[in-house]
Amino acid sequence: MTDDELVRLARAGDAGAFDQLVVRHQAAVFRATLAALRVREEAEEAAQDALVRAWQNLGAFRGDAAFRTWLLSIAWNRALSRRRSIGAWFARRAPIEAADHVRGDGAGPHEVLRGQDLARHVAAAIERLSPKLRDALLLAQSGDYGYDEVAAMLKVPVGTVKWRVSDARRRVKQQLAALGYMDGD
Amino acid sequence: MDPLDSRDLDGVIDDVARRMTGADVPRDLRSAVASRLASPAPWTIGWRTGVAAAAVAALVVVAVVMRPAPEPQRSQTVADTGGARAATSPVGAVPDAPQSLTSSEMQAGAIRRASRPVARQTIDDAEVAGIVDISPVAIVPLEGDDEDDEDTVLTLSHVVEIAPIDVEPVRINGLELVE
Repeated sequence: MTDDELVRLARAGDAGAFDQLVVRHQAAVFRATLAALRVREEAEEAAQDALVRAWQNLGAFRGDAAFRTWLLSIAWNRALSRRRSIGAWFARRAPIEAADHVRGDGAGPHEVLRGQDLARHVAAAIERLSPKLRDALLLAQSGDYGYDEVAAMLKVPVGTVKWRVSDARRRVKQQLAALGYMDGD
Repeated sequence: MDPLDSRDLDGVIDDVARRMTGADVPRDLRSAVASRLASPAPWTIGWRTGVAAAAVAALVVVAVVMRPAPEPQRSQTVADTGGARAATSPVGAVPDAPQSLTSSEMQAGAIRRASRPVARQTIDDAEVAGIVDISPVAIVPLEGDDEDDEDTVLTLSHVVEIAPIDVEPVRINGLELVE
């Protein structure tokens, strides 16, 4: 059954149909909120808010865009609202431990440690980016969204998303160069 | 150059960015959403109650504001006030005020009185050594400049009536300073 068919059933009050939509898209919703909030608990709350709000506002879905794109826009807006709140802002912290799992490409223990150092520096450099650049980079590189979906979430043209991702990479590399990491290209 | 330093930084950036958003979906996300859809959250109930209370309060305010005002009987009231004032006022600003004035006449009188300059009265015998003199204050309308106001009265004849305000002289005897 397609999303459109499930949406039609859900609009008629079929909670089971909406549950199917949740199953299909909860991962994309959660990762979008995680990209904005960077804290798992906050992201989970925002994802719940987004899915509940989507159910409540199904009547407003006109079908101009895909249901998934519409849902991701709601999720991103909910995450941004939460990010703007002071409490969430202070509670936010960078999940830099995620960078520890960057592989060493078959290197020995010393190289693995150095690789983890590099990954930490990259994560810290990404955290220091402006929100616009950081959001574009994290969403685009998550592997879950196409550029058109990222553009819909950020409410900018696709070209702007691409430019922001490119600029984000450039600025991260600048920070790494200051630490002595050179690009092999 | 170190092999790790020379590897493709773009690849590392992409890898780290992917891991920063690549967490597993919470297992209970679906069930949490289902339970929230089944029962409205407590804060939602409170929010709706607050909105309902605010709506009722707004309706009450609108009803009070929109209530038609009782028909005023201003001409009779003002005429009566003016007559009583003419009889009892120590200032005597309107010595020959008629008992029944028209609305425009009352307006003119009110405007003349409001525009008159005032003077301060002093009491000469308060100059006693050792006693601080606080000048008594009395406001007395000055006479003789009514002619200058005639034009103003004519041009402002459409002004809403203002009831005359009695200003009576107040005398404050000297206050003794205690060392």
